[in-house]
Amino acid sequence: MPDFDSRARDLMEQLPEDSDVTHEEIVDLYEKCYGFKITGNDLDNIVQRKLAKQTGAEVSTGAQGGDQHYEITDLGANHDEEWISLTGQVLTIWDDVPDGIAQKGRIGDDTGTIEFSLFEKSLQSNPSLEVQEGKSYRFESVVGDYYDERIRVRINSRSSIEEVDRSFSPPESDVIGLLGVIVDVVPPSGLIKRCADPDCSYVLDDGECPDHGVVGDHEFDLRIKAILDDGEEYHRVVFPLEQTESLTDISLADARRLAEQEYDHTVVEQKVGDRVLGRHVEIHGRELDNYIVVNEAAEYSLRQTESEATIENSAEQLIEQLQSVGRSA
Amino acid sequence: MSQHTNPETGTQVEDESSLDDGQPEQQSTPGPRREVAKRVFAREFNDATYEFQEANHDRATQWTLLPTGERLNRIFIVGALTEVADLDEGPMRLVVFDGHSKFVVYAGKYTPSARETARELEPPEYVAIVGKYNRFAPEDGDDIYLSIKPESISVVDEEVQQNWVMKTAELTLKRISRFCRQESADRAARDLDVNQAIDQYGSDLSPYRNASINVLETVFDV
Repeated sequence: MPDFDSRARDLMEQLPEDSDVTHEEIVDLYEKCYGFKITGNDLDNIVQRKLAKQTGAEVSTGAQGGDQHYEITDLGANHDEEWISLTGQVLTIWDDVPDGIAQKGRIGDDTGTIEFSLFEKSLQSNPSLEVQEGKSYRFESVVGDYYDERIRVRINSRSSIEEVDRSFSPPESDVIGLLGVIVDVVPPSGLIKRCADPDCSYVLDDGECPDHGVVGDHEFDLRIKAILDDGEEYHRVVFPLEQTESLTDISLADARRLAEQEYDHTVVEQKVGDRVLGRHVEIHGRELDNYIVVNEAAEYSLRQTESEATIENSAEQLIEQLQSVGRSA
Repeated sequence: MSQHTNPETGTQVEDESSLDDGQPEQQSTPGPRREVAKRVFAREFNDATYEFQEANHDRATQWTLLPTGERLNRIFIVGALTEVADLDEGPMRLVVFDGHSKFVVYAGKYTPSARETARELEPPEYVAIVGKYNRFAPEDGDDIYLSIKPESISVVDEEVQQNWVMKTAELTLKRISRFCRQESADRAARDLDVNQAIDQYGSDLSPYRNASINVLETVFDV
């Protein structure tokens, strides 16, 4: 259960001294609402409206900036539905967000990273809540949101967000190693144009940057977004320039030449697709939001890993197992 | 088309390892869901005639049920191309041999890039194909034909094909072994897909077992 005690204390301080509302009454009211599964803003609104009616005093939780300031690594299940503040850098804002959500992405400080979301409704009532990728902010009065065994934060209409002039370097997540087949290449892959603004590296969509609109200037990049599938599970992976070049034998210069010849930069997507689709690759990378960013990639080769005799041996073992499976029982 | 109940509910099996190798499919990262590309030999795939949907709306994923008790929507195959035919006004028809049996692949107008690749192919050649299953039941007969609608086709070398055979044999073994463990449990404790497979196809998996062995023997010359 959230820390209603501190919220009640917070509210008590704002009430006129002669009011006869007690700390316990406020906590009880919170707990009662919570029992109805009411959470977040709704919960505070009910309590505040009730207090206002009883005492005539305008009170509110959260927005006074009195929430405890946390480092991201310290946030956990016990901060569900808690008002918190934190300072961090917006690492990514995702392209695909569900209906009703204005922004969703990841914030990092020097201790860790956390997913955030901002609802359309909140943004409409407070347009200053919009954040930009790469910038750092002090987030006041955001609400913890714990589900699927992960803590996230919700920016809400009562939050306040102030840009701060510093950057953060979140600890890197563990290296993940995977072996699978590239079964799909996801657009935009191949030769892509990125916004030339040094603080922005968005991929341009038809010459348009999601942040800067139509931009005259761009930088070329080569990458592959792909689905790596091992027959039992799949992962979204992205091969940056260097790994794309080594996997496809197509350099950025080749790609640009090809695009110029054909007057079309999407031919490169087709070309890299032809080179990698159906290939077994072994990758090492780090998880970043929707994707695993590949640091190392090599085409998987049974023959390089194992001697001819070992391969035959594995085949014979499989045959034996297939012959005996279910028959001993 | 029949309805099929959710296999996520009510499955309890005494052996924990038998639970984690089935459905629903694992997804490591958020984003739109997609179906894992299953590895199946042609002998088993061609018998997977029972089709179902979990939810009763048009956009619900369609599955076909493998005789080994696992569901399939997408498939990844590698094999030797033995036939290419440009059907009149229709799709390209490809036949791919896995060392024992054949997959039939129709590259139609809805998959233009796969179709274009197919047009340039000439057997013999090893090809890797990712695609969705397609089921065809002619009105004037009892036969049901399974084929593949390709999403992508690429030309590969022998080693890629050997990788695929090894992996497909491993996963087929895993499915057969899961099926056998489940079959020895009470019906109520089994995975629903396994129950459905038993009802639709029976419990004799020897054709698939033998086909897998045969592919390994042929491809690895053992």
